Amino acid sequence: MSPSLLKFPHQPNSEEFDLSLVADVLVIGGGPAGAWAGLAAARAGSRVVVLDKGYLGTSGTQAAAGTVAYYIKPDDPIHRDGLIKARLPIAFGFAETAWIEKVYDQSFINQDLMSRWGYAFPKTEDGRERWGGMRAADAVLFLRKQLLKEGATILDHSPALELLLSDGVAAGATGINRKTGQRWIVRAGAVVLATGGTAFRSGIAGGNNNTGDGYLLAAEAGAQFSGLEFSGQYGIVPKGSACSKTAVYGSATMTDAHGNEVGRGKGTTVAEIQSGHVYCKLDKYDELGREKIQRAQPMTFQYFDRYLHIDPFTQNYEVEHILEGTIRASGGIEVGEGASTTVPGLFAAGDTTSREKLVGANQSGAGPATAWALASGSWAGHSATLFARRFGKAVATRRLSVATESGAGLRPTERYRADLDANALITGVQEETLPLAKFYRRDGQVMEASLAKMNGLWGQARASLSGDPSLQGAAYARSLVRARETASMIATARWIFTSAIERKESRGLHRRSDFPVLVEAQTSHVVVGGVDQVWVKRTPVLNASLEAKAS
Amino acid sequence: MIELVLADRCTGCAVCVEVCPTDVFEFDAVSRLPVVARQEECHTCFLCEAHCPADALFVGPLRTPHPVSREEVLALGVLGNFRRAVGFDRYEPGSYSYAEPEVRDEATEGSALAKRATGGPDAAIYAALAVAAQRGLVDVSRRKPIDREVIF
Repeated sequence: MSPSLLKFPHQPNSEEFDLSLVADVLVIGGGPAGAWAGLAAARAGSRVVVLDKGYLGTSGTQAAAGTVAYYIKPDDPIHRDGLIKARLPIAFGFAETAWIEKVYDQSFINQDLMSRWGYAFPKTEDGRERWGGMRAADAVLFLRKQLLKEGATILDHSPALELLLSDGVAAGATGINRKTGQRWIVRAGAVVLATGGTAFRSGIAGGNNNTGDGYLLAAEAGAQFSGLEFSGQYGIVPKGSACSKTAVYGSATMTDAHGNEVGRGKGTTVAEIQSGHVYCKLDKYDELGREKIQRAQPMTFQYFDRYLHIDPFTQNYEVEHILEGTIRASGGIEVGEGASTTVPGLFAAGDTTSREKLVGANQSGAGPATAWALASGSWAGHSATLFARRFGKAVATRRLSVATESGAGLRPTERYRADLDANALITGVQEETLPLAKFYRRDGQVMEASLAKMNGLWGQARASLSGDPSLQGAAYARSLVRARETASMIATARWIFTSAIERKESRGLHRRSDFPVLVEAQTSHVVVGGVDQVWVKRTPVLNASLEAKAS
Repeated sequence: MIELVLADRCTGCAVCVEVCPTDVFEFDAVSRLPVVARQEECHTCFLCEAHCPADALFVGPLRTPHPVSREEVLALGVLGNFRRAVGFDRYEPGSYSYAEPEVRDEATEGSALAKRATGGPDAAIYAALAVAAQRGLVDVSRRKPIDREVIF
């Protein structure tokens, strides 16, 4: 083995690390799901470490977007029924009434807690709190402060690179500080993954850190995914913009290159694929509506304040679709009761998990997704606390190892190749995952070719990709993190294409041109996993609500 | 994408260096100012702008570079408009994040912001923001009791 391979340590001995911490619960990822996992664990008495690739408070897509967060009023059966029934017909057979209720009930509890802790929810004109929405810039920042109050340790700019196991049980993680190059190790009694979904760095606001890192960590440890074929989720942005908030398009007239009016969704997608251009005018707002939407969505209108100086309410402007992927779709790491994965001691929360039981084959949008982040985060933190209690002080002294198939992007199986450019590999992934013509409308043969290409990239990455050993400190850290992100995105694309090829029908966010209709007999989950050898299987839908099947 | 640090407005507090989730900025030890070292990593979340207490940053709305000059940015008249819109301003109606900060001497001590807040009309806000920046968020425990009624 060449010396360069030893730069990221193979053996997780504390002596090899600059920072060594012990916790009951380690949370990887500091968006709303991770923050709530940390809060739930800390409030239940755990010693907690929460780490984030960026900064806990600004990291993640929620901090950039601001979201609706559904909840159910406990004493209002009409509201309860309405919220559930509205979702079932568009879930295409996968959503479970009891699960939806549980998520939205938990979301109520979380928002109640935020209110009690002093989060300044927006207020109505008569001074009452308006729940059900989280402002972008300060919601997670508020949770950061609560975490610190509860005594949690926060590591910013500290991406996790590898999961640690103890006899097959999740027992911590190692990683590196992106700003200092310091290597760290956290030993823990249980681990929560809250690393978000991925849009393959399509450029959506707040999405660049979401590179599927948690998927790869989970798969290496032996966890599995469900519903990754439900990933063909695109948002609409003004041409060249990053802001894919779509509320405004409900009050717009959309037209194709020839000036023909088209519907949002299928219409605009077909228009962009076929005519190459889609145009938009926000002409359905009245005076008051214009004022309200500009106040509610300041990021959306920066495009007109700062770049294209037209009046979007009266003038046409060009828009385009942009991949939001599993950040806003429903597939992800399969979790059961208490946000548990199939790996003991490993829990998962938020966008990184499958949300099929909540929204079925469709997009998780903002309302369900944020409610899910709050709920699954809380459950994961609580479950992790209970799991960790059995170890007590032994957490600090357990014998640790890395998973057999681990190390992609960190420890090349052959030799590090300086000419293997991570950014070129990422471009290779993006060529198959970003275009509407390949990833929105899917075709079996095209996807077979995409998968073959991903398998080729995986082979190269596995053999020769790592951080540049000639670099030092933060520069080396950035290079290593980029290599690991690249491996994660390639792996994720392989799982997605494997799932999408397996599902030979069209349903929700999975649209096959060669199998254009929903096939009732295919109402079962597509489950994938594996690192070097990807496997796929079907599992039955156990508790889906009958009402949903009728649609 | 982040396009510009307006050096004449920047206080060198380095909040942007700390809060940027994609590690775009480096703090230049000589000029004592942040520089955009890795623009290609920016994902246009606007949060550096929201956090900047001096309105010294300009984020363009595009996801690819689109260089602008200081003069062009000033002519647009948009500096700080996103920060104010999302309420990171305790003097604006509807503000929330920095509401009622409690300024403590020990908290402001050593802060680059506080050192710059030597006087003038902005001294109070700089001092307050220094506390806010140090804590991640200001103490809201002194907020008035809230109406508990829940509506939609």
